[in-house]
Amino acid sequence: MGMTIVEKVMARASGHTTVHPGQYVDAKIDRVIAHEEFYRIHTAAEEVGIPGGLPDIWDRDRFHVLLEHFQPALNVTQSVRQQKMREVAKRYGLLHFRDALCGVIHRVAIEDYVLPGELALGSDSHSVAWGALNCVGTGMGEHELAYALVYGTLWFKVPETIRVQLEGSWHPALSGKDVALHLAGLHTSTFALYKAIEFAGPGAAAMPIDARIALATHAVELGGKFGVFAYDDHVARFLAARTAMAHQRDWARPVAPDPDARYCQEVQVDLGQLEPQVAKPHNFDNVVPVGQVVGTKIHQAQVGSCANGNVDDIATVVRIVKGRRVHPETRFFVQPNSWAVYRTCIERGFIPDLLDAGVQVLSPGCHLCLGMQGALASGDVCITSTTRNFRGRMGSGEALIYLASPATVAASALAGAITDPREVLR
Amino acid sequence: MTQGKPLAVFTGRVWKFGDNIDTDLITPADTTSFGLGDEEERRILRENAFRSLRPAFHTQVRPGDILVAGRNFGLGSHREPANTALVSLGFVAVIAESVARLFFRNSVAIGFHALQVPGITQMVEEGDELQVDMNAWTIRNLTNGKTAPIEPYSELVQRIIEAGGILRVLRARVEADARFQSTRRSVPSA
Repeated sequence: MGMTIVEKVMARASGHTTVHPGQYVDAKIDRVIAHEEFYRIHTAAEEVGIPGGLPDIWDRDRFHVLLEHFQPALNVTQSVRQQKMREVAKRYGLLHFRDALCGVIHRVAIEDYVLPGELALGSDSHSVAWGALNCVGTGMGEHELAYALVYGTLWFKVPETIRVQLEGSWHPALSGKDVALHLAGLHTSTFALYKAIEFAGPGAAAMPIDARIALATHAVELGGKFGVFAYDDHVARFLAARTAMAHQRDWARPVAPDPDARYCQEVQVDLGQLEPQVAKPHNFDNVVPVGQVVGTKIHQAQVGSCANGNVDDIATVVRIVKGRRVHPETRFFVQPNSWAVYRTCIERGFIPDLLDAGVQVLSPGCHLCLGMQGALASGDVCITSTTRNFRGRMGSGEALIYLASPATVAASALAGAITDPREVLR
Repeated sequence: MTQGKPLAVFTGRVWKFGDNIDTDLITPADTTSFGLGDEEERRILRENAFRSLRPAFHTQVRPGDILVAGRNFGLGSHREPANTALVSLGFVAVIAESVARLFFRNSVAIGFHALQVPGITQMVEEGDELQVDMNAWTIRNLTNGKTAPIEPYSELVQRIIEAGGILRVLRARVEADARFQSTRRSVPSA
């Protein structure tokens, strides 16, 4: 019996020849990447009565800690927490502790750390993003990470896999966001509950890495445990340009599904027919084609986050706003998702174009997505390409959040109302 | 915040919520954005839990109450405070049509019951008294007499829950591990 990508990785990591969905395995972890929750990992171990916290870390070369979520700190509490983490990091003798020039954990992990075929855990739900590089990644809470860090293993229930077959060709006005929203609209946010998703087909093969990042990131908004792409030339080229962690480069173990792999469900999406998608408040699966909400007045527009703060996302924004002006009653924030992305934006001349158009460019981080910057007041309407539109996600519970692609957000920012980006890109 | 061993049979008063109760509704981002895990943070989490849906909820919940919800309870963030806030409020269990993956794992990890009972929202109203029997894997609505089966935990999950969470399992393993004997100091009891 053939296996899917995730089944193969689970089998390899748990020392089995084959595994089947529903099987419980104790799997060896290839990598753990934690952000500020590292603090809770440490304190949870102390609180349960392990003196000094974690007695050891199974492999310091496979553990990364980044002070990235709120960098720079927004208040004294965050500052104090970061200060304590620097102390703890020293005490644990961490090899890979990153305190500056981070950016969003998932983007940085893709730029510098994760490798194809790995089973990797992150202290954040959007760790599924790493599937863009054929890495089987997922989020875990601090208690489970504390366990995994000491012994390098954790329990898993091997998930069933859904195959999402992407047909048609990729075009730059599309975002992985549109694909994810389309799937959520059709299949709801429990589409892949307790399951893995494999993104496949000619459309997936044509997607650039940045577009794959957005789609893989949203595997969790589809309920999924993993969201994985195959290894191909796009991934190979992306990794060839990586300079960090050079000593680990040949640890990569690309994984392809067997031709006779069994999927619990197969769905098709024709990218050529896909209209820009918008999620209305307050859920990711409350989706309509953009035409149904065109004209909705907005006060704030945002492009950023692990999903959509990538170079291609910002390039799309520039294509739309260059030589135009953001609507005077709309504030438009763009937040690159890493300092490497930020640097590329500078090198390509994006930043002056954005500033000339009236866009406020922020330093990389997770601030916008959580309302830590640009918090919304009661009555505010925001369209954003960040990750979630839950009620109260970005400030007041009486604000309205619409989710859409960077193209739709940028076009809407110019008009001051939700706009079909195809009108501007035409 | 790892819990002690949960009870096998318990009775509680129901608070009923709908579908897609996400982690931002339970613990809004501004209340869980990396505090210090101290009493002050626990107070903030408790006092702001569910504030968009039910302001001052913490003044209404009593220890031993049960939260009943629709499908995909706890979707969204990895944030464990969403789980621990329920414990702080006094809840002994969440019973939902379905529970989101991370919320379920985090519940197991802290030794808190997040139970799946398909059909639960049809057989329970707010304020009802619910009896949960973890030995028989059934719930009984003491107010209207209706019963339903609970989706049983796997053996492994059951073991972690009974230990009082995964860090109790870790502690036991560390205490028995010769590698850590020399560095270990006295261990406070649970």
